[in-house]
Amino acid sequence: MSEEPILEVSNLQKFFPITSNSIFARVKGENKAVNGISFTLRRGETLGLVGESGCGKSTAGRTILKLYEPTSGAIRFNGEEITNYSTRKMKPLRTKMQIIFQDPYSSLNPRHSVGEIIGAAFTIHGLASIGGDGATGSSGRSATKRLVQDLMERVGLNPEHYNRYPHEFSGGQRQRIGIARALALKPEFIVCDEPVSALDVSIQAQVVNLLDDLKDDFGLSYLFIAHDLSVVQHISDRVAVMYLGKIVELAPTEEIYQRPHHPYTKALLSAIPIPDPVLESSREQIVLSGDLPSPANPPTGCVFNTRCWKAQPRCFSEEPVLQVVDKSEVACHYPE
Amino acid sequence: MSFLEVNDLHVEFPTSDGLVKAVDGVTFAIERGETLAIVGESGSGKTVTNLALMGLLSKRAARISGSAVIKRGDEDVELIDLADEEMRQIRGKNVAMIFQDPMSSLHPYYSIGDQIIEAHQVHNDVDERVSKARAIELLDMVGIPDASERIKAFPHQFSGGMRQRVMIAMALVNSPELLIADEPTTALDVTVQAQILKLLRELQEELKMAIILITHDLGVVAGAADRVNVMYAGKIVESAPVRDLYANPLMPYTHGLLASIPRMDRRAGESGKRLSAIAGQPPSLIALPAGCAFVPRCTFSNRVSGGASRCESSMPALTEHVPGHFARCHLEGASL
Amino acid sequence: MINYLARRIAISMAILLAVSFAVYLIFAILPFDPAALTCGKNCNNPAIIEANRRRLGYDLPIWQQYFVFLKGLFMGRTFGEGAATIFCPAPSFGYSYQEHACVTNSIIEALPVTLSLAIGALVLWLIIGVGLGILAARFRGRAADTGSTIFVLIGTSLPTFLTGLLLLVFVVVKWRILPYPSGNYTPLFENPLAWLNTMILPWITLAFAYAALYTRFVRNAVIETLSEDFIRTARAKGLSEKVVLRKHTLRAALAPLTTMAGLDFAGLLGGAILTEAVFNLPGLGRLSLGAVIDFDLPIIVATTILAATIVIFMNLLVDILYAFIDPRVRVAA
Repeated sequence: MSEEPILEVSNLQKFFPITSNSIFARVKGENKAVNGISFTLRRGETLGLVGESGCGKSTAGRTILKLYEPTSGAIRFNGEEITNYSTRKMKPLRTKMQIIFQDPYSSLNPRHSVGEIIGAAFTIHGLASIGGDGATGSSGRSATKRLVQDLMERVGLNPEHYNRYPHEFSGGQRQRIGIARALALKPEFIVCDEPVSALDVSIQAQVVNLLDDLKDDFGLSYLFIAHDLSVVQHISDRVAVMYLGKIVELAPTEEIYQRPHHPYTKALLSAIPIPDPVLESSREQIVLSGDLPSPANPPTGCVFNTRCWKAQPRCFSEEPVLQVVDKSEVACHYPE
Repeated sequence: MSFLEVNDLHVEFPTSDGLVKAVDGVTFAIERGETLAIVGESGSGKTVTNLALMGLLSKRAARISGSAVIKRGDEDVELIDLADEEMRQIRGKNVAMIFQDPMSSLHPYYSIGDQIIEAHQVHNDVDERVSKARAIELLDMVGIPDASERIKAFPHQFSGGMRQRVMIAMALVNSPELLIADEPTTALDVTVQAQILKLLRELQEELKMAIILITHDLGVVAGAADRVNVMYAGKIVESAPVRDLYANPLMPYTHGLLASIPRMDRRAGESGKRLSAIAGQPPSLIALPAGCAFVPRCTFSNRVSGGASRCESSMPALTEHVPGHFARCHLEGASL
Repeated sequence: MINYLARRIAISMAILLAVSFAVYLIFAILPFDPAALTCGKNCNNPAIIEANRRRLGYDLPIWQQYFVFLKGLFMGRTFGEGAATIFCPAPSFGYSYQEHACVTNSIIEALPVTLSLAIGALVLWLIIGVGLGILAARFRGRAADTGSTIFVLIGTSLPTFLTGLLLLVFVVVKWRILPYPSGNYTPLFENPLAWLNTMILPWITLAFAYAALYTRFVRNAVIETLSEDFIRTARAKGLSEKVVLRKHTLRAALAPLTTMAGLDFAGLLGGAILTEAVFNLPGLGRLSLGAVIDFDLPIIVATTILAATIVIFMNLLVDILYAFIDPRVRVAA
């Protein structure tokens, strides 16, 4: 991992309008899905982005790839500011930035064979010439096929299954197809959006290991989005914890799991059941009361103040910003 | 005799591709006040087992055989092949169920009050006001604030965690002796999961009911269960008191499953290493092998006396290796 | 809710205004001289044409014509002056030279026929479609299901005019069960039996095709709903299969039917042209058809606006009904 940043996100916001249900749609408010997040991803690094449903982590990942138009803030990729790039200007960059989705069932076109799904990337970006030939003609096609089969082998699929369709594969294998598709264009940066949450436990480990191996082989940088903190811990160099559209804590992985400074991080970690009955029975758990407030109407001051057990008057009036505590950055007035 | 004894339960689904053996000779028992966890991955038969017990499988689609005897007052009732009318008397009265997705499991068109009152009315010949009072009492008990007002609200007005509380209230309205909880926290966030698991523990303490907890999450099991049945390809492959199972898994599948979970509690240095995944895929339930279904993925079969060929040709019996600890494996004793 | 309704009605009015102006504009742009059409096909008398042009207001600029038309809707309208004055009271849609009558009168005559036809057919196809659909879903894969599938196949593939003609040939001509359609319409309150005699075959004809569509829709909706998680919950509570079906399944399965039936009904009120033609019923369909053939502009404008009004207000009605059925529409989260 180098110190050189591949991705810089500063004060990124993504608001979705909430419209009333009538012919003349009226904007009734805004869902502040991502409400001003900043972080840097270094080349070769894996940054885990964790939080519960509705915290804005997936929206953040998609906005960074410009799959959503950012509301405000800046995204710099390889030093190039892409925040306001048009679809056309983004196209050459798309080969460098890829995404792997959560659901390997709905994210693969059921009418296309695996070969077509993975090979489509070459055709769309006119890159079949990597094999030496043009994108057309039988030699171009066989070159594409060879490339695709190499990739299939690399992600642990049987290359002979080139002509099979997604429904003939299990969930774990489909996720491998999704990974091969993302890798086809030799990207530098991949957003992994809950890549293992839909998989069975015994398959999750296979896919996590694969992602880990590919990162070294292909020199990738990951933004690894997940709600499962144990998986994130395993694969990430640093972890950012999101709550209600904000990053509340960002720290090196060891630090955040050993010494969480934000009360929310602490509660989140303590809520994860540990597969050890002896430990479980002796462990002290912080059970948060209440539910996540609406992202359309976040609390003033600290976003966590409605559920925090140590909230002071200041937490309701003044919004904490990320500040350095030990090796971590924490957005809390009274860090642990 | 135990409260519920299941003996050699088989559930088969004839399909155009062949006979799917979803549950293949399952035997277990549960005592009053006990929590039995049934752990397995998708397709292991854990859910189908319980739907079969409750007579909730379509008689046209499923072939069910075996025996399941439940204590009802002083009499023993055989659940398999029980007449529809008698089964209805038991469902929701002696045995209640909660499910994975609390949004889709509640009827969107009726208020939660109406739905709970209906559950009470069907088994009690009382005035509706009595049922309403009971519904408010239960909502209060499961921690819905302002229950007498909220009883008029509709499911979509609640958050996921609150909806699961409503489901629990509805299940407990007739004080069942057994609660079957099928992945009750899988659709919920970890902090909400912690709330629901805590609630279930407290309610069990108070009401002295037995719980069958169906889950894929070994973390949840560790903190919640007294005894664990591990299922694989329609069979129970290991059954043990919870601490024994985690401390000393006797079946290679359980062993692999425990090893493949990324653990948050493990200290620095360990988290960087590869997860030990179980290679391969679960078998198809249509063409199950004559021997152990786990052999193709098993790394211990070469240590069996007689070698892997013995595992492939003969199905090991569920044997008591240590008092109270059963495993379905040819491997001699606790040698994993 | 009241706020929402007020807004919806206001929007509906605005749309109607736009639609009526568009219709007016389209017919004004067409290369026909409406005044020339008023004095018959072989009329070559420019004096009469010009006189009629002034009488009917076709000499005014188009936007003025539209304004006069709108005013007529609310205050009635007088055509011509002196002895030849014709007054059409509000709501006046104009005067038809082909019919020699106020358009509103023609519509008032035709509307009950179409209403009787549409309402009767709607009731019939809802009963058959919903009933058969539920039966087919309840006994899926058995005789009732197969029977309904055959019914659906025949119903959806037979064109309305063929169904109508077959009924006429057998019921009226061969078996002489019912008298031959006279082309006259007897109102329900005048002679219920005669009314029924006139309407029964058109109802069956129209309902046949719709019933088939609805059977298929209801069958699929019920089967889909039966596999919902909340149905499993209902069964887990110990409810009887009857309650599960009636209370839990049907309400959810049939809710979308409101939209479908509302719009289909609205469509029919615009005139079931084929059915009315086959059975010689003097309804809106036949009125519009005649108007198009004769290029009777005022009637075309009036029937088009009427059809648009019906569709818009049916939509509104459906939305209100839906809010009563589905609390997710009625109560905010």
